[in-house]
Amino acid sequence: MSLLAKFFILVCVAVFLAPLFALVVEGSGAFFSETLTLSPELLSAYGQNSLLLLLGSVFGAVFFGGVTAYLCARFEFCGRKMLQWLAVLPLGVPSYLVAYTWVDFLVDQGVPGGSLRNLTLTCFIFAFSLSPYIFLPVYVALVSLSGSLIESARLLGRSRLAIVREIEIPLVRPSLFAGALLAAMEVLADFGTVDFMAIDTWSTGIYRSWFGYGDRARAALLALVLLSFSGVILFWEARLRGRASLARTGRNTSDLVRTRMSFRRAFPLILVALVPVLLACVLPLLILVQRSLLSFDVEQWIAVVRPTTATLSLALGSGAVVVCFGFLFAFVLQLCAGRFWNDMVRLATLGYALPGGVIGIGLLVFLAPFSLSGSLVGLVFAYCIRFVTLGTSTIEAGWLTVPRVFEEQARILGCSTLAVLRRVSIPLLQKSLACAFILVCIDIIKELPASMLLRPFNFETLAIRTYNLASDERLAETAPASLLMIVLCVAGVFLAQSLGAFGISENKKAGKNHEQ
Amino acid sequence: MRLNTIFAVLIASSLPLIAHPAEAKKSINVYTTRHYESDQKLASEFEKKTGIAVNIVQIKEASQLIARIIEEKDKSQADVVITADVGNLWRASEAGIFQPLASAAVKKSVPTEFRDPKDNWTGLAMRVRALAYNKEKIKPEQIARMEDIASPALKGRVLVRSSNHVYNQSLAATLLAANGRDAVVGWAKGVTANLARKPQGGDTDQIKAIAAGEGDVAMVNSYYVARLLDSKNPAEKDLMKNTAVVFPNQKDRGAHANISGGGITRSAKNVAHARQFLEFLVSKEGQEIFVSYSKEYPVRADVAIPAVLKSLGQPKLDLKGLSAVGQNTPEAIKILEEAGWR
Repeated sequence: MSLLAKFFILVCVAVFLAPLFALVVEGSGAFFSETLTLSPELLSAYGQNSLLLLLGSVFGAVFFGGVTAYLCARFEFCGRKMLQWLAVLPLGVPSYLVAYTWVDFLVDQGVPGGSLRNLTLTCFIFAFSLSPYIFLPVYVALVSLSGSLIESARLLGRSRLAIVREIEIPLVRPSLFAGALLAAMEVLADFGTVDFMAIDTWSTGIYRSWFGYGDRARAALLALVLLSFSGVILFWEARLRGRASLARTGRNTSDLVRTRMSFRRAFPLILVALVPVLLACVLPLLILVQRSLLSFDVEQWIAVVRPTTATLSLALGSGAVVVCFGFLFAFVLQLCAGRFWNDMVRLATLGYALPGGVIGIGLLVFLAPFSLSGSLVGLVFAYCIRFVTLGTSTIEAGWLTVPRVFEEQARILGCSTLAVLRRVSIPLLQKSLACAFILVCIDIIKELPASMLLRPFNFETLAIRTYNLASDERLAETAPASLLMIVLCVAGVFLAQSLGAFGISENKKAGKNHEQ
Repeated sequence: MRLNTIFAVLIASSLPLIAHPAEAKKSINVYTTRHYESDQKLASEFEKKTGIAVNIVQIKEASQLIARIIEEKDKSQADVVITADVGNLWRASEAGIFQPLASAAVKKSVPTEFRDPKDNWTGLAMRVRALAYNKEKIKPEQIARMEDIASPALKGRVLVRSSNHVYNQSLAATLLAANGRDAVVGWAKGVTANLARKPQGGDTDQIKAIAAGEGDVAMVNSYYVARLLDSKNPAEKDLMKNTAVVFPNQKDRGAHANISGGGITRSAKNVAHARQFLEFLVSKEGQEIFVSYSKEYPVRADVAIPAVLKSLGQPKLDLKGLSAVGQNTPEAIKILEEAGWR
């Protein structure tokens, strides 16, 4: 790598880490502040709630996502392909919208609201909305497992259950963990859903310190604790992934033939697999459609035209920038040897573990001196920090399926690094790039806290509009904005799927891996 | 290359964002926590009258909005800051983001008790904290004072929202000023012991809970009550069928009010226009928009309140307690927290 390239990458890493430093500086002030603040007992209670919520949600997601993945990877039945498509859809519906619509609907049905807002129901909401995070990597891992291993086990007389326990679970574990940890971070970072469900978590503690006590330093400190926790998880996950790469056979698709199963026999399992998509995507959609029809008002729909174009332009524009950085980092991870560079990039992509509202403090401190708060550049930068990991990991996973020989041969034939990228890597990575772009766009569309805090004048996204109306207790009026948001996201998921983005489409070249 | 085409089209469609419409020559920039129709209407009316365009950034949490201005320092583009609740106005004022209003028109239109003693901000509109109750199960005399909802007679019947919300924080802060620490500690414990369910939801959710029989008394804000009473949706109107509203403390200090207010920032580049805007907001015309579009109480005596608010009665307000709200808030939150009011 040339000196110039090294310098460029270092600058990128430094810029990506700047808001984090700002947060550390801000948080260190908390050691000297003597203001009233959350009591340690309350904080530990909040932490406990966070852990319980995390465990419940992740186990739930693992159960639903895992069952669906196994069903689709190992059995052939009528409607399997359809099920695979449906299983990803909860990605398109933000979990806070699931909570709003469920509670609103059930209260209207006469269920007392007091019985609804509890930890168990919140766990279910997360479990359903986050199940695609488990389904995708586990399905891809199951499908690409070497068939001979399982055939041998069968010949040796092991039952299906024993094979699951002794071979499949250990071998897909790294993918399962990668998905589970991503889901865990989503749960830890969430504010909107838990706030609405009246659950006090570490995140709500952060917000209470800041918004209630007006103590930014303490909020930053608590955020750093959360960040360290996530950092430890990330590090652990990276080590798991490191070992997992040894287990890769280098093939994308397994030669294992799916077992035929009649629809009737498969039905109970299909039902389990359908629960998340029915409850966390179809039901909220139906409720919102019904609400918007009930109080139909043309003006409300006209009012969402501008937020829709703003959201779309913002998502597409920033999505492209995020993917460029994601590509740069994936390139460093793939083609630059050396642990130092690897660690640098991992460090720069730590932003995914930061809750959106908290990253705001760091961004404000960092952006404001350059007059970038309240500018589109600032917003794009915020999204880069928040979502570059998603781009990097998606592109990286795609790169892993491209045999390195192609690039090496191009090198031998005398191409420069840039020429190899342009003529070999990028054309081969087209689909992963498109997929990363779409996934990042979906997340930007759903993003709320950073967009709200850093937005420019006269600028409103669909997520902001939905939140404002909902917080003003006008749930029915949120319908146009939230419906459009879901439609955009679900359309994105469909588009990504039809490009073979998640590695679950049937063409033989598929096999990209959406982990981490 | 089909994919490249798709990419190109997608990215091109983000161009309208970059090519943002050029801003009008005369304009002011407003940072606000409010996101109501009334505020949009006020901005457009102001522009129609004066030709000065109003650019708005809305950030829901006052603390975040204040943080943004603090960090932007002298480079902040904000000319006017508007936020709901006296506690937030006090915080903004303490952070030193305002400059004196110095407006004779504001002084003339807005009574002193609705303005900052240091002239940093002026009140713009108000909502009043009331008690909603089930007509069949509670007599209004039982809850004549905010202090009464802590009485043991209401065990298991009281509905409130979380102490995360500024409404409850400010209310407790005014109680602190009126009754002192020990009394508020006792009150918070009493209310917590009386809760019908764990504090949750918004104000409308409390009214729904009364209608559903989950509890009999709830702290609610006049704005939400008026909205339900005025709703075109029959189901929403039905919620108020068995529910009545009483303003507490009418025979002593008065009911607690949440005042929205605004001021001119220190970094303002269009001070004259900013002042003109605030003067418009407290003018008779401006106040009428607040009142009719968001069912709030005016800060001017000469503006009529709409029928739906009138039906609730003209409340006597606790204006003395307001000046202490900002200072008392952290301690008030602490007390609520220790009482177990989540």
